[in-house]
Amino acid sequence: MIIYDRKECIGCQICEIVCSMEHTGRINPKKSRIRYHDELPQIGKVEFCRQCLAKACVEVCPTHAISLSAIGTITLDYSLCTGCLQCNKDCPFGSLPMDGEYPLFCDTCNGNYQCTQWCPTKALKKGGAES
Amino acid sequence: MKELPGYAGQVLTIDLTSQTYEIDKLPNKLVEEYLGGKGFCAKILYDELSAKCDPLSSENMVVIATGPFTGTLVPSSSRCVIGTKSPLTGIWLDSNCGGTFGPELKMAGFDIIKIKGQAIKPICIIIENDAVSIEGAEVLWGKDTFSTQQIIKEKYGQEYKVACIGQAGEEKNLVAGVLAEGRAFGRGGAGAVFGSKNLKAIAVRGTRSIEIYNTNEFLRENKEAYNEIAIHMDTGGSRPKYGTSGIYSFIKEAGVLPIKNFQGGSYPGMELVNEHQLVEELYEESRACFACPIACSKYSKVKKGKYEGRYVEGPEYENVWSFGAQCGNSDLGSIVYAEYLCDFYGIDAVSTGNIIGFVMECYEKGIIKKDDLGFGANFGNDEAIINIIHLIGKSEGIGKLLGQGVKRISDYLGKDTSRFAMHVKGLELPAYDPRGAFGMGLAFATSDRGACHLRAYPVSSEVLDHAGRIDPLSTEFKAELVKTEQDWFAIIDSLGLCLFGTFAIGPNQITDLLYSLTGQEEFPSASKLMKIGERIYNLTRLFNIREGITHKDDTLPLRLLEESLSDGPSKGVTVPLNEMLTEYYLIRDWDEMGRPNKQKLRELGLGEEFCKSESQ
Amino acid sequence: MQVRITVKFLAHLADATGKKELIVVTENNFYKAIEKIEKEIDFPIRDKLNDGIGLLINGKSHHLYLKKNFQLAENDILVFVPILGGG
Repeated sequence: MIIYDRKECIGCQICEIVCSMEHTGRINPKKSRIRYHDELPQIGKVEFCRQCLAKACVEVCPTHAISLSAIGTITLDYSLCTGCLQCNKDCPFGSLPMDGEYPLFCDTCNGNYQCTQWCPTKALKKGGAES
Repeated sequence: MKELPGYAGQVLTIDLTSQTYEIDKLPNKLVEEYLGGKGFCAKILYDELSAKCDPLSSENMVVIATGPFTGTLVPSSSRCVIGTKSPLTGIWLDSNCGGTFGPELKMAGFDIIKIKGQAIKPICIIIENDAVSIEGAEVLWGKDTFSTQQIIKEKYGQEYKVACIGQAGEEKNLVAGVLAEGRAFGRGGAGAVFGSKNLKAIAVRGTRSIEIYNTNEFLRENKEAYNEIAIHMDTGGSRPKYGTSGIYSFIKEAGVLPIKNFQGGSYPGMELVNEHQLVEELYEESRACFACPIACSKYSKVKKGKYEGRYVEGPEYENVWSFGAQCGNSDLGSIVYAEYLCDFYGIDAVSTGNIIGFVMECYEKGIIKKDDLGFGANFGNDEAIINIIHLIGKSEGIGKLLGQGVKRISDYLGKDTSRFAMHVKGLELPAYDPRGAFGMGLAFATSDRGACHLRAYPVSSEVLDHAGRIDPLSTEFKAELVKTEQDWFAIIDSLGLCLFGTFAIGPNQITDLLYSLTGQEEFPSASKLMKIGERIYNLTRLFNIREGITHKDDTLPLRLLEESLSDGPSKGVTVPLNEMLTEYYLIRDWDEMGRPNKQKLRELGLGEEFCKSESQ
Repeated sequence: MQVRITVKFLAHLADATGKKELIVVTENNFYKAIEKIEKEIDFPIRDKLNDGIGLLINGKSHHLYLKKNFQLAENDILVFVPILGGG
């Protein structure tokens, strides 16, 4: 999982850029699974799926589109998802990144965590079991 | 794959008179010849504006352009350019800023927005990808820039990025800028052009993707570039900690910091102001522009004194000078508040501080009196600084005159005040005294938008880089240096890159990044890029020649040419401008009137423009 | 000959050396003075001079100030600076 230290964050959105490149092959922050929300003139914070133990999203999903993968990440079955966003409402961390229609869950980039590798201030770090 | 990876691929043209818009494909030829950003603005404005049009009439245009790097992973590549004919100078203006507005515009699918005509009542432009609407902005009229941005976001959504004017732009105040997400298209009066068009704001949200020609190469080259930035003494050392003010003491020690409207000398508390004091007393957080690992912007809050609780995104080096040394003022709190107010009203904080220093000199000389202002304004009077900003921001009383810039104020006052009206071609000088670094004198005199330190920055080679391997007080190498930098900076401003990133990443790396991003065979080498830069700089020159600029305008305020400083490292000297200027014209292949010669224009693919300029 | 000089360190060089400003009494030979300064602050300067660290003497680059006569004068101000880009 990713650990975020807001004190170190500079709001550069480089995490969004590399996340979208990793998952779509193109640059599109609106498709990023980690999202920065500015609080001008001060630094805001990022939102992303923390793969928390609560798993509220798995439980509340009315169509069972959300499940837990073998490596502990959340996966979304797009064929089942209706975009009702109940998962977003019940997320204990406040909210999930969206691509405009569906929620986006961190899939760890196969354990590579591109955002943590590119974060210039190490505000984002790899943590948890794999670290 | 798109035809032009790295580019959004579309041009949005909005006619405010007819309230219509159209979307066209970005022409390949424009990309090949002019690259992006500033280059796009130069070509479009040269072709589409009629000579000598009134900058505040419906004839003038606003061009907003991003570059191929804008919105990508390339470090510090967030920049976006506004090009227009300046109402302050009557000549070419390009003003660029970082932040998030440019990247968002590109994600919406546009490399360029062209805004023509004039709305009859206040409007704002709302863009969400291809959906463009021109909406009434009566509720926003009269509002400051912060409220304007907030109200728009509350109505349309927090993801919208907003560029807008404040009260000053509405009043067509000539030093009004355009503010965007905490950053400013500050210089030259673009805000007044917005105001003349009744254009209060542009809000944009984009959900599109930027394609990359060769993703693996692009990632690998970026990794290297990020590494270079991290290990470089400036971009990885001084700048993240001190911001742009990291050079403050250095510039001061080298005798290049202008004091009290370039009179020199000293003022109470001047020894206390330095980069360490800013860190210790003000800075709370570092803020980055989009895709920038450096984060030179600082969130500052005043913790003591009469300005306690005031905050700003800044203060930048330029404003620590413009409201500090320029005004003989060492109260940091007032500097923070002054910069905040400039952002609030939407005025250029460099020109505004320059104006206040000029007013203070006039006050001390008895040319401007207490009755004219309603308060005393000796150098060092922090309350006078704040009062004057309010007057300019609201265009109240004498503020109406002061908001027209130093040149017009001096024209109005007469009495030989032009000697110390510190501007070139109408644009106020920034925080460098050319008597301590001659190259800056040539840079100011030949900058295409008037006195500017961002069209060439020779002080870096004269002073900052290893304390000057070339003599700052010699004319040797200066013409070559200024010419080369002007051409190269035109490329930086066309790519969408910030100059600060280029301290660590060089021309070859930039060329490699450009190729892996765009795959354009037209950009094979740094030397080919330099040709594009030279083409852009010659085209902005042709634009200015068309507006009546000659060699006589490539000059400096008399103070710098005739009065010397009485102390410091550059004591007793004045700027030997003519010597450098003659050499500069020679190197540029411009004639003695400062006009590009036919052969040079042919070589740059501007041959037809020569015929046009001859027939005028 | 002994001279009294003021030595300053700017920007992050002040952090690196732990000193912003100090007074040094030293022989007037430039290189002897540098040695003395290095000792006082326990920080190597000479190797990095012109390779990461710049030096102004009385506001002028030391190349220009010293020319061939490598001598300092009473009350000279030596300002050591890291490479800086611009503001």
